[in-house]
Amino acid sequence: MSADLLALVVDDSDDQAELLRRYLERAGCRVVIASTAEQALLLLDGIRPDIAVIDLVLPGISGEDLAGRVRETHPECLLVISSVLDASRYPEADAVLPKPFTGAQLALIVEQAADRG
Amino acid sequence: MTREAPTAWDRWYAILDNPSPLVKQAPTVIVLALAVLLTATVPDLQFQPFLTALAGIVVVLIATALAVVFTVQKTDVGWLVLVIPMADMLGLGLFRAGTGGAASLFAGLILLPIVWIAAAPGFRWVLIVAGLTAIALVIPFLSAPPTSGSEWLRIIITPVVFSIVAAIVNELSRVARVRTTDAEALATQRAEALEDNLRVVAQLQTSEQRYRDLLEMFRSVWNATTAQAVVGTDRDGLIVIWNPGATALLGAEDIDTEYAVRIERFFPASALDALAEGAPPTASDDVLSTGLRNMFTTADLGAPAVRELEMLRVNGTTVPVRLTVTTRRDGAGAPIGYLFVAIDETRAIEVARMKDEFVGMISHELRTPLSSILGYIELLRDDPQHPLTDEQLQFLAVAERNARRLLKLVGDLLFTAQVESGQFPLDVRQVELGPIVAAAVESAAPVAEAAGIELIAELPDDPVTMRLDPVRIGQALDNLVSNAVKFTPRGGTVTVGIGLPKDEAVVTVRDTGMGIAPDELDRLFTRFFRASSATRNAVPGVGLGLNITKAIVSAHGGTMDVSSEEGVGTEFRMVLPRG
Repeated sequence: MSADLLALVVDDSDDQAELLRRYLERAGCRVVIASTAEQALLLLDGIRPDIAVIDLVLPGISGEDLAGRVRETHPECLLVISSVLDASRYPEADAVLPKPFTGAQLALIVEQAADRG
Repeated sequence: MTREAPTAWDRWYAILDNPSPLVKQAPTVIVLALAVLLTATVPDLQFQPFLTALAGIVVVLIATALAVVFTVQKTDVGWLVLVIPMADMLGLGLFRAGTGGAASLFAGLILLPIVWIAAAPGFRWVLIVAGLTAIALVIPFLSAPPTSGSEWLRIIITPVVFSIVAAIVNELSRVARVRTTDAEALATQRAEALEDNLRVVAQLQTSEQRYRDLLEMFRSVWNATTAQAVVGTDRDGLIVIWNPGATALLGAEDIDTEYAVRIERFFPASALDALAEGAPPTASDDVLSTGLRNMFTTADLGAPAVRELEMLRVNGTTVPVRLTVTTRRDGAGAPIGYLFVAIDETRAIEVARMKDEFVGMISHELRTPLSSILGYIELLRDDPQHPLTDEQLQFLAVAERNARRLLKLVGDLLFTAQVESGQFPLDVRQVELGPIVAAAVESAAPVAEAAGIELIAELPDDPVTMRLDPVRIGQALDNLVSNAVKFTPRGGTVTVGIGLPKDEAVVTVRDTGMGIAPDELDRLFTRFFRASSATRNAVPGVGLGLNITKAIVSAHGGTMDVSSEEGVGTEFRMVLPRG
C-alpha cells in the first residue's frame, strides 16, 4: 500500500536530497525533489504528496515558511522537518528527522504516513 | 613676619634696660669727679682734712675698678655686685667728711649708691642702706663728736630720710619688676600664640595644597572618563553632575542646569517598566518612577545595583547599556544621592551576536557534510541488493565511528557556545531517573567491555520520579560514564549509583582509575581544561565534557562534586534537587 505514497523532498543540498530519495524509494515511495521552497511551491500546485520532508535552511523562502504554507494548502500531508539545527528550533510538524538521520527513522515515518492514508 | 633692624635708640635702650655694673657706677664717679673739680677750683670750698677726702676718692675708685672687672667678666655675681655701691657709700662718706663734714655740700652724693642698693630686690637692702648711711654720715663725728642737739638730730634724721627714700625706691623697683615680669610673661605668651598661628597657617597651606592636588586629580579622572557615562543625582533623581562620557553616550551637552533635569529623561518607558516589574509599589506621591526607586533601594542596602537595559539618547534613539547604581554619601556616611555609571554595550552585544551567528553557521556547515557521510555509509552498508564483505563492513564501521566522533564534538562546541550566551533550551518534564541512568550505563557498555572494565549499575528498586530534561541529563551522564571508562585501566571497575538523601537525588559515578591531581580538581569543570593524567596517558578528548555536564546540572538547579585520589580512583557526584 505504501507504493501509492508520494513524497516531496525539499533540500538545497543535492547529497542530502539524493540520500532522502534513496531511503524513501527503499521504503517504497515515489519521490519528487525540489531544491528551493519556491520550486516546491510550484510543484505543490500540481501534486498532492502524502509526505513532505522539508529542510529548514533554504535559500530564499525559508523551510519554516514553506512548512506553514504546506500545512495550509495540504493539511492531509504528513509534514516532516529535517535539519541539522537543534530540534528545539523546529516549527510545529507531524514528525522530526534531525540530521544525521538513519534509514530506520525514515522507515518509521513512512509507516506513520501509510497508517494515515 | 620680619623683625625690624634695631635703630640707634634700640641700642641705647638695650644698654639701659640691662645696665652693666660699670654703667651703674658711672653717675657716682662722674658726680664725684665734678665735686673734686669744684672743691679744687672754688675758693670757698676746700679739702679739710685732705687725707680723709683722698681716702674717700680712693675707695670710690677701687669700687669703680671692681665694676670694671665685673663688667668685663660678664659673669652674674648675684648680690655680690652690691659691694660696689656699698663701697661707694663709705667712700662718699669719707669724701664728705674730708670736705667739711656736716657742713659739706656733697652729702647728697650718697643718694646715688643708695638708689642702686635700694633697687635690689628684697626689703633687707633698705635696712642695709639705713645702717650704711648712718655709718657714712657719722664719719665726720669720729674726730669731732657732736656738740649740739641739732648735730645729734642730723646724725639721726638724715639716715632716716635716706632710708625712707631707699624704701620708696625699693618698693617702686619691686612694683616695676612685677610689672616687667608680667609684661614679659604676656610678651612670651603672645610670641607663643603667634608661633602657633604661624604653624597652623603653614599646616593649612599644606592641606590646601593637598586638596588642590586631589581636586585636580579628581578633575582629570572625571574628564578622562569618556568610555563610561557617569551621572550623579540627588536622592530624588535630579541630575547634579554629568561627565564627558555621559555626553558621549547620551548626546546631551554638558548639563549645567543643576537640579533641573531628572534622570528618568534618559530611560525609555520600556526600560522603566522592566525595572518596575516585580518591584514593591512605592509611595504614590513619589516623584521618582517605581523601577528607579527600587534600584535606589537596592543601592542603599550597600550592594551596587547592576542592570542591563536600554537608555534613551537626547536624539530619541536608544542604546543598550550595563548600568550600575551606587549610593552617593557625604563625609558622615549619610546618603545624599546616587551615581549612575553606564557602559555602552552596543559593541559587546554585536560581538555576542556575531559569535552566535558564527557558531551557528560553523555548526551548520560541519553538520551537513557529516550527515551526508553518515547517511551514505549507512546506505552502502544496508543495501540489500549489494551485501558487503565482513572486511568492507569493518572499514565502514571505522569511518562511521570517526564521523560520529566529529559530530559529537561539533554538538559539544555548539552547546558550549549556547551555554556561554546563556541560552540553551531545557525541556523539563516529570520523568523517572532510573531508566535515564540505566541508558547511560547501557550505551557505555560496549566500550567498557572492549576495554576489559567491569561496569556496574546500582539502581534503587523504587522508581525515582522527578522533573528534569531527560535528553540533557542523559547527555551529562553519558559524559560522566564515558569519562570514567576512558580513565580506568583494564581490569578496573566503574560503578554508577543513585543515592536519595532528602529532597535530592545524587547520581554517583565511581571508578578505580588513574585519579586526578588535587591541584587540578577545582579547574576540572573549566572549558577546554584537560587533566594532566589525561594528556599524559593520551586519553582522547578536548576538555568540553565536564564543562557541559556542569552547565546542564547547574541549569537544573543542581551541583557537581568530585573527589579523587591519584592511582586509586575518582568519584563524581551529580546532585539534583527533587520536588
